[in-house]
Amino acid sequence: MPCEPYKNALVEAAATGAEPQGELRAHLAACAACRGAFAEEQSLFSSIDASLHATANVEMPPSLLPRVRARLDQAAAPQSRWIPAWAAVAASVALFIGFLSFRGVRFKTNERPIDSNQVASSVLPVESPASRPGNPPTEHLLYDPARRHRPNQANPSPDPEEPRAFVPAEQPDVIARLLDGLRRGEVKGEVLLADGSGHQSQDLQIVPLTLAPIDVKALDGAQPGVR
Amino acid sequence: MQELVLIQPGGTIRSESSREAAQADARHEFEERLVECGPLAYRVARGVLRNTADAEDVAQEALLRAYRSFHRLRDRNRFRGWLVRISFRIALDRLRSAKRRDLRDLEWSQPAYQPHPANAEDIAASNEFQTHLDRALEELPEKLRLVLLLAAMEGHTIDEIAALLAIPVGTVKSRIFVARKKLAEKLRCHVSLTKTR
Repeated sequence: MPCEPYKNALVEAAATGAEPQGELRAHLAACAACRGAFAEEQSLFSSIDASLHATANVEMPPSLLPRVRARLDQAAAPQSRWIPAWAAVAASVALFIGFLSFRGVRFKTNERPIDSNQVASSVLPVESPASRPGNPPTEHLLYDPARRHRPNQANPSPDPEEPRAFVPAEQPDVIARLLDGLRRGEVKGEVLLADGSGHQSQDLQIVPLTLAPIDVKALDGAQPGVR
Repeated sequence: MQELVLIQPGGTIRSESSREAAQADARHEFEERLVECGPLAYRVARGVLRNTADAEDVAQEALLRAYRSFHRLRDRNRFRGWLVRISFRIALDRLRSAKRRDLRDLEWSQPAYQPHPANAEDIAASNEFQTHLDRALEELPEKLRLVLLLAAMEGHTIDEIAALLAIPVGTVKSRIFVARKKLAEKLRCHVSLTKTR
């Protein structure tokens, strides 16, 4: 057992590998126990260094570098075949456009085909949404197809049983009045459905187009027939 | 208004060929460093893992990663230190995952792990010391462990280790000192036990 005051100094001297100096050196010369302990410490650090040296200096297996080179070749090969960035962007854009057009086609096919013979009857809902109790008042009696794809709007979703039709954007009020008249009986629906090819309304008469005779005059200073 | 972009097909071909030439140059430069620094990567991995096959895998992975990021390394003189850190990091990850796997296996397969019996007493003592040293090394903090391994490798002076890891020389010295002291503390009882047998 080394002397307690020199214990740490012994270990540190052995750890640094330096020769003990000064007071420690004098004590080691006088104390056999501390000399023995110091020798043990030096032996311990020598063993540690030898083991570390053996661990840290192993030879590299000769197969490692060829393996790495093969992997490097593999890594480089797909890189050269890799499609350029602009091609990837173009493909993405094409896919996006294709997706949009597909969606457009799908929505169109979901719409009811409009038969011209059914237009008159289609614009006549049996009961308008505004007249139903509990429904909020709507601006138009006719269903606006643009609202169909916007769920959760203020307006409730339209009744699938209710007939629908497209109307010109500037005419919903006129058509609403027409429907109102039809509902009240002021306007007769048969008149609208009747074949009007042989019937000529008094209000709608074809007036022949009359053109005034054109007076051809020569330009000032120019002789007729000379270019 | 539609924006127009001027393209130059000939320029694209030229830039493609110059890119390939740059890649070839980088590959050539990396090949030279591969021969020089391959053993270093392997030794660092081996020092952490103490298993030849695992160390080989780790060194290979480290070299591949270094190659992939080689173009980003501005100062090519720092390649050795950079590679050492990559190898050390991958080796540590591998060691930790192996430990977790071993722990799982140990939980499932009882009885617990027992060391291989030795043939001769001196070999047994030597192996035992090495086993204890390995265990003590594993318990060292990463910073201390790497410096100690590099210091134990042939051809690495304190100044070179400082340059390699981009740390002051004094820091390298103190880390080596602390690391050796910690190892000695852990191994002291095993040495005395071995001697008393």
